[in-house]
Amino acid sequence: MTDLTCAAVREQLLAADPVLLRARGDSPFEQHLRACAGCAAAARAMLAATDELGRALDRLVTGHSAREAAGELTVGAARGRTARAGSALRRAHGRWLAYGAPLAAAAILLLVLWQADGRQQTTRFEPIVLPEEHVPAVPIVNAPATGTVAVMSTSAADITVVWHF
Amino acid sequence: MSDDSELDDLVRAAQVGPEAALLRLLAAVRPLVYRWSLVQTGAPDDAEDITQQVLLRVQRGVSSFTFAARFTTWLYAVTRRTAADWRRTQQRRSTLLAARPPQAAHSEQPDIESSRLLELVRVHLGGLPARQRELFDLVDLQGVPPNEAADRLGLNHNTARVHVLRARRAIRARILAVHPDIVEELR
Repeated sequence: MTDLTCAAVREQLLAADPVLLRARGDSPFEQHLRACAGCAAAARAMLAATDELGRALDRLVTGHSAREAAGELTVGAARGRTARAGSALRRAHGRWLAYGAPLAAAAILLLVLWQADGRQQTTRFEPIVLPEEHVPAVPIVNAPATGTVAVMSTSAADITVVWHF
Repeated sequence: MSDDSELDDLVRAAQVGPEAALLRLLAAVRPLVYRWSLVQTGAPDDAEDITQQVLLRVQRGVSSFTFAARFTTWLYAVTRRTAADWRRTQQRRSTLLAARPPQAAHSEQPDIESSRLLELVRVHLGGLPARQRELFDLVDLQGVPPNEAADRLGLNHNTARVHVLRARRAIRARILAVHPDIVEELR
């Protein structure tokens, strides 16, 4: 047995270079591994697991290469998967533009006006309060240069919908 | 896998030669890129997608490669960037498609043996931070000299060595945890 204790070797075992774990050299660490059955068993277990991990990766790569060579994996196949995800995304976007966007615009830009009698309607948004004398009978809304606006009366006399789209 | 000098020859041929030379280079680097991608993602389908994108980038960029660094260093950097870009894209897609009902998987289901191998890889490497995972694979599993591995990742050599040591500790501690008989002998 060498001067190194098992406790000291055990600490080094966790981080030692794999070459040292094979104990073929003459360092005190390697000499201890050759002399101590317990520490040698630990080193072997670590090496075996590491080697098994390396072989697993090698075999996964080899298997992948074989499938690629057999034509199971092609640029088209990978692009197909990517394209399918992209198509799903484009379909989701299409439905959003066709149905969701106008509804969302209406919901987000819903503007509730109330008459001078003080009755108020609750909405998700804080209503814009104008001084009584500035509230026109029919709202005048300027559309942005890149959009359109619709002003719609409702069955409720004190509710007018202004839709920017 | 070709060693560095053989890869350099393939690169030079691809830069000046016919398309066949480029195809030979792509075929030579493909297993390497796939392995790196698999270590980065832990998922064969993801690794395949990343590999395809890397090969396209190699195809576009090989003509301007100047050999200022090793070709494998450049290739590894391309792979890492592609993997990072791919992850960002996937995160954005996941957010937008989250409300969609789940669809049948488009990819092939791995066979039993591949599933076992994948599980082994995930058990050992899955708990590590990305850098430790990459460096452990390069240094301890592929035998790349530590300083060269550091250069591939753009790391200071000492920093890379620390990452390798931490990865070893984490993996080996896990190995000992499943060998209580050995731990008992070490007491």
